[in-house]
Amino acid sequence: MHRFLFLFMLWNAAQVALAQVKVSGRVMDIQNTPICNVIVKAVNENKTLGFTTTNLQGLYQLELKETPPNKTMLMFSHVSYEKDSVELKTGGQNIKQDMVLISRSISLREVTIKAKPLWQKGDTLSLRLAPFLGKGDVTLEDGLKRLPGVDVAKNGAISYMGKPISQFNIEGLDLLGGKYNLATRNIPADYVDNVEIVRNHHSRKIDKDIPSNEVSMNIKLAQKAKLKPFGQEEAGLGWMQDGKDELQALLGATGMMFTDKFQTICSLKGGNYKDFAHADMYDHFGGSGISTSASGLFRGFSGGVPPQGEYAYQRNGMVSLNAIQKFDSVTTAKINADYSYHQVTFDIGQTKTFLSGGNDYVTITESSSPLTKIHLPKLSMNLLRNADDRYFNERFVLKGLFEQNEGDVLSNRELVEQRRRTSSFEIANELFWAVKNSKGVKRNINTAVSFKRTPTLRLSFLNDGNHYGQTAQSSTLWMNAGTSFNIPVGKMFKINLPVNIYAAYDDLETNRIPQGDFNHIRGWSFTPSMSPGFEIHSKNRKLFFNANASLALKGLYYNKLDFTKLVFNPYVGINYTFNANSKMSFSSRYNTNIGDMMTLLTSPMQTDYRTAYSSSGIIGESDSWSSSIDWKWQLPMQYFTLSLAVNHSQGKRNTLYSQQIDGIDINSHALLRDTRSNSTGFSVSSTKNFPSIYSKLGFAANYGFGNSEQAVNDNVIKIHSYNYNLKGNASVTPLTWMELRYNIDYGWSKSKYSDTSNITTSLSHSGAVHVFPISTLDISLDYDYVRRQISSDKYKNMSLFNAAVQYKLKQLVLRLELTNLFNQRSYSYTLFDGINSYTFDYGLCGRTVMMKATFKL
Amino acid sequence: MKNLLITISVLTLTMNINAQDGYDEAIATFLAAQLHQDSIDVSDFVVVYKYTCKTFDADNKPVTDSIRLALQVSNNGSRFYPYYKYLEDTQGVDYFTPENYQLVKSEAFCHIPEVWMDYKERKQTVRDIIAPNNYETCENIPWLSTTPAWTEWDRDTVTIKGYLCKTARCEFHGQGWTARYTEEIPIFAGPWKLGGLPGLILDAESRDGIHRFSLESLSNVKTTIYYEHNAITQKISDEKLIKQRNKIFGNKQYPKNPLYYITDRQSLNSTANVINLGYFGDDNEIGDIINGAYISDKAHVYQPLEK
Repeated sequence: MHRFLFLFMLWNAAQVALAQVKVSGRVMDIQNTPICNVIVKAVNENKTLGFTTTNLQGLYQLELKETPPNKTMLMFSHVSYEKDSVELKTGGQNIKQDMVLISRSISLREVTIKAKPLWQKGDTLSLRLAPFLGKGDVTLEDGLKRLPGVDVAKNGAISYMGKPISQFNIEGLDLLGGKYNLATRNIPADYVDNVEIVRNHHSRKIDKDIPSNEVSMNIKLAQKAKLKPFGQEEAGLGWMQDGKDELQALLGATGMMFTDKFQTICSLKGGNYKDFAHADMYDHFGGSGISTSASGLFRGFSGGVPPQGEYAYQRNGMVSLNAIQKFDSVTTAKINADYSYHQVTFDIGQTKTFLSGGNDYVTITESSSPLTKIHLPKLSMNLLRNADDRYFNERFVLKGLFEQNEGDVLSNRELVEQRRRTSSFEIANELFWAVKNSKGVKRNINTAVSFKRTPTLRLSFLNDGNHYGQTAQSSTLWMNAGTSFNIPVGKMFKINLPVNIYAAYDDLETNRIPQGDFNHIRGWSFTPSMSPGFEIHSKNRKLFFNANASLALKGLYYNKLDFTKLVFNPYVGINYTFNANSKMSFSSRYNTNIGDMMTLLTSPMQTDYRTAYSSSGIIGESDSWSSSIDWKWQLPMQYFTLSLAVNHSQGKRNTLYSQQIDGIDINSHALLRDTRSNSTGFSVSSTKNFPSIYSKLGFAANYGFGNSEQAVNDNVIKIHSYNYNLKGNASVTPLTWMELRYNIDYGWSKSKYSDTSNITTSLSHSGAVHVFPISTLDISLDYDYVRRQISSDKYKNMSLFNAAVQYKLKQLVLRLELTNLFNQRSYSYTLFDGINSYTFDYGLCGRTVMMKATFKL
Repeated sequence: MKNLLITISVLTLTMNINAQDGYDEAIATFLAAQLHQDSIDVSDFVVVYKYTCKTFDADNKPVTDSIRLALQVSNNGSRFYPYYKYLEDTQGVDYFTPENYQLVKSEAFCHIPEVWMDYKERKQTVRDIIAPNNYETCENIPWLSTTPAWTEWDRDTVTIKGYLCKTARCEFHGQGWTARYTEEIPIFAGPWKLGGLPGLILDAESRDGIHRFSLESLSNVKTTIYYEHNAITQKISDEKLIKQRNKIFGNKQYPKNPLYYITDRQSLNSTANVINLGYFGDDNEIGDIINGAYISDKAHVYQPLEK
């Protein structure tokens, strides 16, 4: 039996040996050099029977388990050589097959990384800019407009999901503060890799454990923007039909450098084409101007701003030097020095209808061409240390404001001359120091001191040969010092104890000439306050509840006035974070405002040629209670955002605004009478992007209603108001060579008092068509259509058309702009403030052509 | 030969001790570890893979770690290593900056060694760090001898980023792998130690679904392939390195205390093999640097590629 088994195994082994086929050979190139790493594969009818590779000598040996069937191919492949194959000779156990391969250059079909256009990490949403950019986009601002949830207003203000950003960083550094137009309008879009939107932003890292509703933006630059200085030069020449300056010109140069430790943006611009230079100096966080007691009382002579069209003739120039040095990961020093000049004039006709009692109205018709010249120098220095456990911020600001204003008025066929001249300066210093220990106890000390002065403010009027006017001067020294303790009790509870002292010394003089009505107020305002409160975090940190009760002792000690009052203002806030994409906030506060020294200005003051204003001498007090709730939801990966908000406020004042109409003279003052008001508003907004077709859709709506009171010739009138507004916008790319943009804005408002009601509606469309015959050439036509109500049954339609041709090269953008193609010269609309109506008729700038070149350096 | 001075930006231990109340107190000073780089070849093309590893964090919550890895391929060999390091070598991009902290941290969680292949000598060099030691193995390329023994190499076809791929399976060091390779690129290479198929491996996934290498990009770029020499690398056998790695990283203490096995950390300063010691982090957290390797204060559960 054993012998039989052995013979059987031997026979089997022999059969296997007979079935195995060895294929061997050598692979060489045409110079007879062996080729290493050639893949040698035996294939029969697409079935791989076996494979091997050649060694350093070009030799290979392939063992096949079975005798290969007919038409088995031996294939030789190598990335550096042309593929070749040969039919395998069958019939033996050892097959020899050599091969010669012909070399070729390696060129594989490339696969590129398509980075995700956006990704989210905690509260930070990172959006890669390039996938959103349109063909005609040049600057960072052009790109930002296309991002989901991001809106860029005409003045350059950026908001995310309806919330204006509170900080704008470049590579993590806040170089420009609120003047971020300097960056967004001068950094080329292709120099930016990513835009980071940080929700729950804290300017102080030490506070990052507290929920915040602030939003900030951080720009991550492309590598090429970090290697060397870069910038752009702009030059343009044009012509305006019937313009105050027919020859239009602009010239500007902006240089910038961004390294890991140092950043700078320096810019010099000037021109008389639109607000070319002035626009870059817009401070979105406020604080670029100076408002003193005197300049606040006697404002310039201008008539508002029309929502559409170029209406102002401007000459503007600016120089701005900004630099920030990073010493370590948390410490920076920054200096910003600016000077700007802005001269603006425009033509305006106004018809104002005032209720003068009963059902009688007084109508005043005026036309004027206010001219304003403003010089604004500013220097700011800042040392910041912003660590997780320590914060130090020292900021020094010095600024001046020199203003001249001419507002000659043609009123009821009489020319009245109005002049205003003022200069003001401000010097301020702020210091904030905070520290957090290992147990989480936070304490801070903050101080701020500011001195503002208007040495002279002069108004002069010449009416029918009569000279009259007004002078004023004011000085204010104010100081604020505070400290706060934030003490954790367990893991979920914290106690806050802020204490603050505010003190201000004012000196204000006004003199009405020639009447000699004189006000001179001098004294202190002094308010110590404390706001004990607490915070509770839920265990999963989704719910945050905080409340405080502010107790302030408001003291006004001016001239003979000795007023002291204890004010109690509670606050409660709730934040609930459903997840990273959905958050609800609720807040409610009770607020008491006590009037200031301005209420002691009982002698009349001439604010314009026909308005004299005096205060009641009564310290005003208003109590208001306001609540708001909002819910924000975003699906970043679906490019979708949605915001819903509701707010309500109601208030009570102990004084009532009153108008006395006498002929065309209007006097306003405050009556000692309790008055109540309330308002409620609802809003919804949503955006959706379709990146694959470069499209963005947006929608917003709001509705509000409220009640208020006003007195006309001592008769108290209760006013009910209702309004709603619908907005929509779309930016779509139906074809690769075409881009369409469309905006629609419809507004409806109704005011009702006694038996009278006024309804006004407004409708505006704007749109643009961009055509790209080649990718670098952008031919565009945009239009504004406005339908505005002038009176109850009278509407005015207006259309404005602009066109542009832009040719974009790597380093140069040439742009030909044609503004107001059909030379539309006026724009009118009416506003109601409850009982009075104001109709504005603006003169628009004439047809303008401008050829502009932007060089990237 | 090209000698490069690789400067690794780390906060020194000394500086940190002086700044007990916060790392931010310390301003980075630089310790330079002089690593000599030999340019050994020039790539014909470069493949970038995304590696993902499904694991658990120190609190046992499921997480997926991922990093990018570059495979430089020439006629004579290849180098497989972190993509950020590839950018550092070829484009001079400094990745040891706080902005890239999360990238560096991800790399530390993924435990992928650097692999050089020498096709001519049929040798494979693997370098791995088990802090504070740098280990290096040099053995025959397994798939040019016997393993991994790919089976079922003709099954299924699928298109990956425009390349027609076939599927093959194998067992390699205790782990089952499914690979998708394209015969349009006839080279035996692949990610990590995988290779030996009649075409470039574009995608490979472990049988348990924990590990996956997937193609991100492929470009015809000629870049220098460097081999790094340094004084602290210790030679070891492949088998011992795998054993050592699994023993240390596989310990239950590792996720919560990645340096649990170093009992006297101050003595690291006087250890001959430690030439580079410090800290690295961003605004939110900071970790140790030991011999150029980043070690976070918490790690993720180690998922061995080889058992």
